[in-house]
Amino acid sequence: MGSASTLEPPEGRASDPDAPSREITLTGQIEFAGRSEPGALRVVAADEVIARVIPANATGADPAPPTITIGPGLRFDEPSSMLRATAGGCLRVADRRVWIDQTLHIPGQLDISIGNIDFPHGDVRIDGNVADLLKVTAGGSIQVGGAVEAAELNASGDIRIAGGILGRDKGRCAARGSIHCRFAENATISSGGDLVIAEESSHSNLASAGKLMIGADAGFKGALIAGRASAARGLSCRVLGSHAGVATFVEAGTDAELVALWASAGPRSQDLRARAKQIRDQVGPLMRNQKHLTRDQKEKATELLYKMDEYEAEAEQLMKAVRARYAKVSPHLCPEVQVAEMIYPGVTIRLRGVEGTTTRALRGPLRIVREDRAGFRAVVLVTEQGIKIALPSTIVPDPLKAIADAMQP
Amino acid sequence: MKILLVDDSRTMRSIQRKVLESMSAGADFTEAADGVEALAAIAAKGKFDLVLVDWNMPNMDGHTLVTRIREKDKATPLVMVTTEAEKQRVLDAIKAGANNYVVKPFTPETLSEKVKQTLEKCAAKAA
Repeated sequence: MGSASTLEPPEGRASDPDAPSREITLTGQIEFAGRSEPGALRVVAADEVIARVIPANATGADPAPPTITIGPGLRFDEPSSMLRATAGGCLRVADRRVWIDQTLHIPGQLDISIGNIDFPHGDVRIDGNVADLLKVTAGGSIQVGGAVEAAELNASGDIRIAGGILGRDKGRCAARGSIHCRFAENATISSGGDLVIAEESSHSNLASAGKLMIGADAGFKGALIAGRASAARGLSCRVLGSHAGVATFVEAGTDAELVALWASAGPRSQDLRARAKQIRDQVGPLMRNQKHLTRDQKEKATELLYKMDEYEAEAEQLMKAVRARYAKVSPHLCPEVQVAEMIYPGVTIRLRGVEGTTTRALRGPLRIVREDRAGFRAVVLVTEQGIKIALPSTIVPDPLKAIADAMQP
Repeated sequence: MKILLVDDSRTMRSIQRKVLESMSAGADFTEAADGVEALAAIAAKGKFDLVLVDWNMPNMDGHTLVTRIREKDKATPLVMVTTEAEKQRVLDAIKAGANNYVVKPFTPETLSEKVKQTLEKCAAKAA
């Protein structure tokens, strides 16, 4: 039999090695395709040939021929005696049992001895830390039992880090789902869902298409200090800024992906529509007086009408992604920041077209909102008693307004 | 689907082609700049499933082309696409054997709608 892996089977996944019903037992030896080293991780793709089963000696001389148990994720092709993966995942070998696991489990640290992980088939679980400069990519979620140093994590699902992220200005975490970690320092983090930091974020670049919550649970410091933070569905923390007045920038109520889509498609789409309108204005009068047009003018008018149609189709195609994203996110955008305990000077808050900066410390709880009435637009801090304190504010471009206008038929 | 586009304007043939490509993916297009080239294309490639014909062309105009095609082929859908908008002209084209008539300037929607109508009518007649 090929060498047994020292990796242990994980608990409770669909490919549970103790799951009885899908296992078959064969008599014989197993010869793995490719190299198989003790402790080596082997990621296989669906339909990949894993091994050949060499039948036990047919003379029956051996009263106890060796057996192999084939677990989930594999099928045995009798005519060719080949074992083939039915699903992509991590090939597991232990105690004369072979199966495919759709969770990749690293029982200790992820460091240079193991190297980068690229596991498109499911979740990645790392019990220890993730060392500097390593990269982990998962088709599912990533779970880290320790801390993440200056590494790069990318998950199609969620990311959960029991420790913190010590980015050293190089570390990046990106997830399509939510991200949870204990703290973030000099890191870049972006989440398609909520971003939840238990203790503190400092000098980091945070972007959430959901809510950004720092210190949501009691007993945690909940500080957001320096760096930039933006959250489409609102932001909450216990302490915002630092008593030293270090510049901190926060933004709420704007979806970064929507703004980026608009930036790439919007101006071009508007230009095309303007050109189409120009043609319509030019050809319209001619169409009403077709009888007086020469043959060449009629042909030219047809060309222009076709061009107009092309411009409009292209403009609509460019706007398709913008429309889809706008429909998805706009009902949930929340331009509001909540500070439970204290806000310090030097914090700039941008809320959809207006930006204000704190000049002194104020105790919470505070709700920070945008006020827009009768020519007055400002960022306003609202105390628990309902007292409003307007920050010195400036009007800034609001990309969402341009997008909303473009969504009108 | 085999389509023959007959027009002395390359731009016009290009517009017609693009409109019809969006209606019929994988269509096989042949272009001719006048009636003489069109008849040569028919002789070389056999019957087409759709022919679009301009009226005013050098060497052989569209009306003559339609008449000549109909001498041997009563079934192929023929659509006249032309600047000639007078009622008598339309009647002359239909009498010669055109199945439908599109007046320039036309929008892409108008051309596709008329072609669709023509193909449906001819298919119903053939059934």
